[in-house]
Amino acid sequence: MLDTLSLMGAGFVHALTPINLLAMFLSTAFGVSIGCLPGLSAAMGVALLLPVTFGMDPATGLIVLGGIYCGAIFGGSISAILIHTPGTPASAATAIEGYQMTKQGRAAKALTVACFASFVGGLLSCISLYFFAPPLAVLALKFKSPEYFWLSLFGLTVIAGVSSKSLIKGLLSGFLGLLISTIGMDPMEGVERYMFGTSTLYGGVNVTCALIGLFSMSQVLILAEKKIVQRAKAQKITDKFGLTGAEVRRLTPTMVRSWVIGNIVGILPGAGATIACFMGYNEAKRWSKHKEEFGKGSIDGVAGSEAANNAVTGGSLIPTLTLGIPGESVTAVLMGGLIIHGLQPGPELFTTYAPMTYTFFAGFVIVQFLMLAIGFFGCRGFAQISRLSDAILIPAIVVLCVVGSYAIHNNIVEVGIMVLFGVIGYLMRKFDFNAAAMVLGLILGPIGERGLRRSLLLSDGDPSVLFSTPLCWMLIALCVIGILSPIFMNRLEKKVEKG
Amino acid sequence: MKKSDLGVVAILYGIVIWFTVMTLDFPEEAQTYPLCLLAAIGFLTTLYLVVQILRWKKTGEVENDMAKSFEGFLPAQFFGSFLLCVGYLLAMHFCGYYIASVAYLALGLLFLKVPLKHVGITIVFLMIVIYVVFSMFLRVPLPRGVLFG
Repeated sequence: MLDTLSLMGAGFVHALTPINLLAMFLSTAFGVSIGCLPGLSAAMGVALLLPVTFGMDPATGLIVLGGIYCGAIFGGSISAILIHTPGTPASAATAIEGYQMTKQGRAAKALTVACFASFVGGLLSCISLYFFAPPLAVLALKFKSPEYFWLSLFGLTVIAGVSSKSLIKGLLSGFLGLLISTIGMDPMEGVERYMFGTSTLYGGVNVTCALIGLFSMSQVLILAEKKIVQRAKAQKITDKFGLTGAEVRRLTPTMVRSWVIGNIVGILPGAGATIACFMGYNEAKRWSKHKEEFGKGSIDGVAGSEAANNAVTGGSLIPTLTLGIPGESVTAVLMGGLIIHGLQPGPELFTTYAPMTYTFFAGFVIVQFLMLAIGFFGCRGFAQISRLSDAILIPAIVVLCVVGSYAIHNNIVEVGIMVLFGVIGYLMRKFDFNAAAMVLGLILGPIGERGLRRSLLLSDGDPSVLFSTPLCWMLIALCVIGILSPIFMNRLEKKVEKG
Repeated sequence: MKKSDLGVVAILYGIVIWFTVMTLDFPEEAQTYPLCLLAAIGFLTTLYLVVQILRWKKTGEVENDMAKSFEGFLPAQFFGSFLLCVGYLLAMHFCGYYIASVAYLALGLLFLKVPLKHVGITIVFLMIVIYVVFSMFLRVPLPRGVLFG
């Protein structure tokens, strides 16, 4: 206990260095900018800035990625409130009440509520991160090769099943990712696999290039295919920012409720911030003493939605960091960032690399405060950014994708690989495949392959080793649940949408 | 059943066959894992095909979803932007990163009908950001191009 407390304290000391604070401030501001631009996602922002973190200390790099994640989730509410267009799907419910408030000349009040609720939701989710992540990591200590094989399959079934329209297409995306992960040298036999005569592929397909291509470059192609429309002009902010004591007291139960909802949804792989925001909004409506205000500009509605979607951030990091199971695309990209920095999700993060992990956690807490400040003082500026035309974004994102993918190994071939993955990502989105599942396949592929082949090697090729422990059976059961969970999730989503 | 499903299934079978042929050239010990994956992809593709055929038998319709998937698709803008992107990569090889980027941004922004003033601001802003972050902070040796390298 004392060890944990001292690690937590040391984490804050490290996180509060000037360079970390600057990195947090810039990344959160960048995240808010990405979030408030309709059409750009948090995953895209994290993927785009991933190469920039290479030159940083791993803790700083992860804090930067966390800052973009939190900032982007909050940023979506700015355009939702001011131009009635959610910057990210996670703010769709915020647009319902937020824009009504804007039309009534209460835009600043709506933005303040969104900002404050996001802060509270995000901050409280950090508590869960501190309390639930280490015990779960202890469980992962018991994993050996067979368990790692099943764990990788579990991660794949969950993300493939829950975040795809078609379960089979989701699983296919994951398996294609696994197949792509076999490109390069065979880890046991030293044989060249599917390298097409390119030495660049010796180490396999670079995950960062794939991430940038699948999430950022594909978005460029999506933006480029449609007529570029002028975005609605943001409404003028005429009222004053701030909340009264009575308003804070009124919103507190809603925010706490939404925190619980957001956290549980975040921990459940695959559910994500979009479901959480609607659940938070619906529960705010159900419990509100001012039900008549809903649909006409309710501060409870804005707080319920925003606290829930930001509470997802900390919650979703728990399975990602402890078991290596990211539940949605942003955390899949974040996990890619972790691996690129030479770190494997699991118990080591809480033992060997505990100082780095607790610095990241502390940074995540501080990011919430910065998000509050940036949101509070920068809303007017971000409102202008949300109007930035796609015509400017398309070439700008291409230039950033190119420099980002080149910077990894200073290799032009990897830029080509990034563009190729951009085209693959575009086609996958068009035909309802799942880019996040493919990324996860790429990340989990080597872990699963090592687990399977080592198990078979140690058992002289006897496959029963894969079913030899209770933990294996537990993971197999989880795989089955992972495959069946889309049915449950679809029902839940429909129920939430009906309100 | 969707019309695009036929193409998707054909491509997936193509991938399975192509990779299987390559895998069979590996030594036996190195074949097992990739073949397991290819078998899984082949199985899932077949399962998907069977599900779609059953759906087609039930409804008797083949939905032309291409029009829906590509609704509002502007070929000139899409392929123009993509070709500019490919040209950018080629230009980078010859002229280096900064010259190619400025040229690409100028052409790309003008192609998408961005006002001249905004073109200038975007180029200056982006180039400064990239120079500060990548050249100064990360010290990435960006391509100088064969003509200048």
